[in-house]
Amino acid sequence: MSKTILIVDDSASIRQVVTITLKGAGFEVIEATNGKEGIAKLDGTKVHLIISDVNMPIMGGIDMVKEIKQLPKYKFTPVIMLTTEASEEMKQQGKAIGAKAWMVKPFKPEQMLQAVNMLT
Amino acid sequence: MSLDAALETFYAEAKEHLESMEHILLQLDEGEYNDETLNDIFRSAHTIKGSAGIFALEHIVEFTHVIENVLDRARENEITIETKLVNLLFQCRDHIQALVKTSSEEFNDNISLQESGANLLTQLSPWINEQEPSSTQNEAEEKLPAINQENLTQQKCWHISLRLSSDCLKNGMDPISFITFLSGLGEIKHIETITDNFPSINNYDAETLYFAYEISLSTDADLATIENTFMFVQDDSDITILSPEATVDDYLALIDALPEDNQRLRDVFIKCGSLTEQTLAQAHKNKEEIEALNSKSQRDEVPPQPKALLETLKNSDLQQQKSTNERKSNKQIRIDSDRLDNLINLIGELVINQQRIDLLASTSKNPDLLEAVDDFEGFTEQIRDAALKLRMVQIGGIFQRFKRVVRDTAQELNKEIELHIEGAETELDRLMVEKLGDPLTHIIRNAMDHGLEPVEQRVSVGKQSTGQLKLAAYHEAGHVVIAISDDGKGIDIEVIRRKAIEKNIISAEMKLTDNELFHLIFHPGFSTASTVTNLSGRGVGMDVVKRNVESLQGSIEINSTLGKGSEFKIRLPLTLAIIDGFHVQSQDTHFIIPQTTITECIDLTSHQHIEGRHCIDLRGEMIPFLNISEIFMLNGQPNQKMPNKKSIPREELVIVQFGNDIAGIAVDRLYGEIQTVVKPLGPIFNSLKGIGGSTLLGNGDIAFILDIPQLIEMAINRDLSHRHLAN
Amino acid sequence: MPEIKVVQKRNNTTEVTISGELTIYEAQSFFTEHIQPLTIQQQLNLKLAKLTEVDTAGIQVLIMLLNKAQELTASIRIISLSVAIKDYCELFQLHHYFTVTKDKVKSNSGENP
Repeated sequence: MSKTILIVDDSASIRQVVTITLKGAGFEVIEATNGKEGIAKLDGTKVHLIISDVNMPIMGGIDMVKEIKQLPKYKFTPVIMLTTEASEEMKQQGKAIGAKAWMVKPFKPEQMLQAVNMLT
Repeated sequence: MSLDAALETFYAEAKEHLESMEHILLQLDEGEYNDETLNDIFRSAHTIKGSAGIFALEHIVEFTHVIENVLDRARENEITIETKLVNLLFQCRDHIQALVKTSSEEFNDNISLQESGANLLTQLSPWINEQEPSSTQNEAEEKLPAINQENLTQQKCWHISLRLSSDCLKNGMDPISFITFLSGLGEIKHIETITDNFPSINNYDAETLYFAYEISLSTDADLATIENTFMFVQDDSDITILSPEATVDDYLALIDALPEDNQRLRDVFIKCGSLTEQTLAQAHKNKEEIEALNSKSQRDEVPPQPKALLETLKNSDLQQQKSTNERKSNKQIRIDSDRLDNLINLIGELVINQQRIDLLASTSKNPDLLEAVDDFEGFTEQIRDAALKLRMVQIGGIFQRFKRVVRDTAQELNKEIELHIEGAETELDRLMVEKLGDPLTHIIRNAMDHGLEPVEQRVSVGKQSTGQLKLAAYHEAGHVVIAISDDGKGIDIEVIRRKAIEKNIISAEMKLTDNELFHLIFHPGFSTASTVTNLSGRGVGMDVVKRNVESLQGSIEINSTLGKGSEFKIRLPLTLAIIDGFHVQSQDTHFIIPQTTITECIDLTSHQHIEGRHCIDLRGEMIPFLNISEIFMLNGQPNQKMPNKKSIPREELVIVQFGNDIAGIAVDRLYGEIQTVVKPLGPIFNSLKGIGGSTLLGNGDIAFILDIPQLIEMAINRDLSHRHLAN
Repeated sequence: MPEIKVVQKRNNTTEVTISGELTIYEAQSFFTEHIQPLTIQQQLNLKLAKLTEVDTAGIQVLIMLLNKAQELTASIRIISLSVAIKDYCELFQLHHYFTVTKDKVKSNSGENP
């Protein structure tokens, strides 16, 4: 059974690359463009990993993860935060709510796949 | 979906970010910036680099990385924004733009691009942070003594000591992933799961990680790769990786540092094969000899700063970023412009069909049908307008570009010039905006070069030292007007007249209005500047500007006061796709006159024809006019004089106006208003003056859309040449 | 939730059968509801053949159970192991914790009611 990954990023190009890479590696991918959409798209689906951008319109990654982690079903779902600039403060904030894995853009598709393999 | 499609998205994004960078650089240049501004430009560079990295566009990543570094230092106030830096950053931005347009392969072949990049980086060096992460690893390898090789198991065996964060499991990171990943790098010779840290049953928390691990890994992978395995946990975890070259003392130091009992760990390490009883014994013997080296290598064995892997960036104002994001979140979607053009074409067809139905319905005389068709027409119009709106873009985008042009040109000319922008939110068809760039650039350069005076000259005539240049856009009578004005020296009509006579464009005796004289600068080959600077001497003249504007169904008007300044007004229709037209007929041919240009329709025969001129007297005003059938030789007798054949009872004269110019167009029959879908004419009609396009009428007939600005010009010229001859 | 069946036998044996998934999602409640209050007699027999999924949190709970038994000086016998546990032990070389105690299997299972 293939594993399912939720990717939340407002940049269409990043989303496309992540999706292509992950699908190529046999993962199922759910895409969302912001936190709110991300939460909506989860909808009880079993998700093995959440990959999310930090800075997004409407609802950012940190707020989204905070909400998702309240749901028993996703309490322990690993999260990779993607960021172009990770301030220590922001990272701490993220870590406090359980978003421990941070990946700094730019990353190559292989790096992303490697990271995903490390957490699934 | 393919990577190519994603790459397209990247290019579109990069373009936006480059525009935003330019915009911010201009703000920096004017000293109008704050922390948020600096953050924004940093983020743009960072995002370009980030996305480029994903597409393995190394040439972009490499260069942009340095720029990003400099911008990072700027927002951290480590360096100050000075003119020299801003100038350089402008060039760097342009270089990134050039890189984005270049593929990796092209870049490798493009020596000049490589050189200009290297050159920029050299110039940038005073602002570059020296403390780029150096290759700690190489240093470590150099410093490590090659002693104790015999300590090692035969292969390249690494020792990994893991004390992972106790929250690891809660965060969804199970050591299973890491160990599985490590086993993919090579062979796990031994893994010891240490359970010493389990609490008593009453203190046990099932979501906490109590296991600790000592791993012996045989692999050809390098330190960075092994380290990478733990990139997501290393911040809260104690991870020590000992290289195959590590000394016994490194191990002993590690054992000392670990929380578990030393004897127990020694046993574990021996189990792992990382240490043997023998080497331990020898270590004690050599202890004194290697003490000095020990401390050094110990330091090197600690995994190089995680910071090198996980970039750490300092305080950025979350709140501010949030508000920026909210501003951008107007629920926009990106649509391929081809699709939009296709939609508008289809709506054009819809409009034509609606007219056909209209025609059929009117012959049927069925009132219900007529009413339905009437409603249909209303909706069709609404759809048309809505669709056209989709293609409207704010003119601000193109205006923004000129800030840069003005800045650079002012520097080049050593003049002080301030650009003011008004009405940036005015909307115009995207297709037109794209074609406006060149003519606007030319007019603006001209204004800066010939219009605005050098500082000393301005001061000497009592003007403020900084030349004022204004770029404004606004709506006026169904058109968009773009006005470029300056407070420079103005256009000297006498100079123009002299030049025009010199160049044999007009005769010395001709009496021309100011307006007519101004328009002479659009004459091919006319140049007022006695010395051609490298700015305006770039091949294109004002005649090209005029042609460009006319190809957009637009016109240019000039106002100028000597010593006070000049104003160029470009008048453009809102859109080129569908226009409200006025249907007329000449001989057997149908024509459409754009509604917005028509001021009135009069009966030609009832007005006085001025002797010796191709003019009529309309309420005391001289109006030049053309006869359509004559211009387009519709009856094959171009020289036929008016009044026309008897079979046509009367001649209608449509008075049209464009800008300041008025002319009459004589036709045989007037039909009335009609929505007109503009179809461009093929390239073979390019040389045909006076026709801007064609359209299909409801009955299937073709009608030609008259190019009013061109026709007015023809009418004026004909009248002018009459006068010329007369004189 | 994983299922647990506890049989307290007359021969001082506690037989524990755990089946289903034992992962971090279930570990805490499973521990507090079943492992913490569990009474272990002199002999602990563990039947883990139907434990379909296990992760590190799950393995830790099982080790906690073994630790508890050890503290109570009970002797431990592992009657059966599922593929999931075997895989985990393979990866982490944990065979010394989880290996089926073969000699006693028959006699113990024979006492099953």
